[in-house]
Amino acid sequence: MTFNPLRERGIPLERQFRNWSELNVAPYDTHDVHPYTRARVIFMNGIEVEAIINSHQFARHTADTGIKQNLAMVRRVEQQQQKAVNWLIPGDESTIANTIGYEQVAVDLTAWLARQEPDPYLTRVYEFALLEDFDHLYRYANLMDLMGEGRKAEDITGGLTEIMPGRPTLFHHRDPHDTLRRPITLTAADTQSVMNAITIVAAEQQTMNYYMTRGNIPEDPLARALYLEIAQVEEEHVTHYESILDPTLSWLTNLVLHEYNECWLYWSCMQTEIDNRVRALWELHLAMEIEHLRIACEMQREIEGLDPESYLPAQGMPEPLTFESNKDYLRDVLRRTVDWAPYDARFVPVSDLPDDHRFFDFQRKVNTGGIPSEQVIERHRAEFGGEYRSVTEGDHPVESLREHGNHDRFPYLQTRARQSALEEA
Amino acid sequence: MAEMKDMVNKVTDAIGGTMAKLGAASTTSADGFVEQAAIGDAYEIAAAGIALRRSRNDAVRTTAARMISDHTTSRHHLQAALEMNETRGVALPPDRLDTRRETMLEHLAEASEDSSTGLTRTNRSSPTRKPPPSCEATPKAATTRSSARWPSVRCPSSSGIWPT
Repeated sequence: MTFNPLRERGIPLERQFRNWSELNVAPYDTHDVHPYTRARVIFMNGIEVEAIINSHQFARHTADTGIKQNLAMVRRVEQQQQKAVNWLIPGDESTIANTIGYEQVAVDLTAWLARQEPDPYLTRVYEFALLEDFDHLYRYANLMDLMGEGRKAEDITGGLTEIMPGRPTLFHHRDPHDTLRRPITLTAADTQSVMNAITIVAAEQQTMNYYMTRGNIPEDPLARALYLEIAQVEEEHVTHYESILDPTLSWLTNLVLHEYNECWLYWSCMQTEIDNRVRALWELHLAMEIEHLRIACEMQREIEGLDPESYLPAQGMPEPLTFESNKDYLRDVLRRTVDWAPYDARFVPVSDLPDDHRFFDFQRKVNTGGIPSEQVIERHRAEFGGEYRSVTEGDHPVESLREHGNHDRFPYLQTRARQSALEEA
Repeated sequence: MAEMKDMVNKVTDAIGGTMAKLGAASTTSADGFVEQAAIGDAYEIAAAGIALRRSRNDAVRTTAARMISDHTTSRHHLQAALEMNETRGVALPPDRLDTRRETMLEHLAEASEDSSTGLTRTNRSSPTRKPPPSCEATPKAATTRSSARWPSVRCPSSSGIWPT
């Protein structure tokens, strides 16, 4: 199954604008929607937001009126697409319930990308952050109970994604220098790697923006605290992922790649969507994006004299991006990488960090005075007599992260204990 | 006699440093670049380590710490790049410094004391000052192609005195 948007015909731009009632789509039923339909809606909203931000940034960096006009036209349509997608989310889906959806997107999207990624270094980049989003899901799921939501997180995830600790959130806070990775280059990288990178940056950016703006909605101080703590980790994730993008691209190449990416993703959603009404929206937007891509390619040919077909794959994209259960893979990543820590662009076992590494200093700075991601679990234990977990495949693969496991044996805690002993000595 | 030796070493090192720059600048192959970049980082880290352990001058120590930090980052980026498909087929760097840099480090270790810059013998260093972390060991990375061999970063113990 392959898809080449360069060989398809889209809807002419002048016919793409919709009226207000067409955009104000009927939302899905939060109690009835398939978890991965919700996931695709959250995800594609993030893709459209990135398309709009990228277009605005391009417009601010060019003096060419013709380019600005094309960008403005296409961007207005992208804005309409974003509304039509994001307005599928119903008003009675609370912020915390929607947050569970966001984290399920982060987990199953990142897992799929990591599994498909042809580059071994980039696979590590995805696996590293995967365990952090996996842990966020567990923290928010516990918060959801405390907020009296009336339903469990597994009702949102549909049991398709397990909920248990990943690399604990308190250890995600690190010196910004250690959030930067090694970039790819368009000329040498596989197109799948390029598409994966653009996709994950958009998704993480949306999550970051969501927590930035929605994290202050709850009244409970602990809920507000957890949102702001995890929002800071999402900032790390955006930095982490955007640093793998090719920084040498021209604005027009970057635009073409964004449009190509949108075509691939709408096609993917169309291939995998089970809700016919939502599927029709993906199909409509795909037809629009094919035209956006054509316009971007035409601009590059005219202005830079470069044919995008020279760097886009002749055969198109081989596989649709798919939201699917990744339980076994997650457990394997947990076993292999839960103790990883970044040291500049590399990942090393946390026990290999030098004792005076900047990580420990940063940890002391932000984790002094109470850690919301730990407090939410402690409060859940106090109020409910235990933690909230949704586990379907047996014990946690890491003994020290089991609810009644020996937590002191967790590698990060052992390293911190060693470091504290050294300081006292 | 010691002054004469210092002078000869300094001239040798100046020539060696120039040759290193020319070598790096004239590199046109990926293999050559990786070799020069890896050895260059390892040398700078080791040389800065000597300065950090021997100097009591804040400016020298600050610069040395920055050199270690920046070249450690550079080394990690190179190691990460060598894990990528894009560098498949590129030769791994040698696992030790070249003779020229080895000699330059030996000269630094043997160099005489200079009180005007606050550089002193190792055994006079403040006992509270810890050696730079990057000189102690190269962190073991998750199993990767590039972690198999790498120029070892050593901070030679110096009984000599800093060049005058």
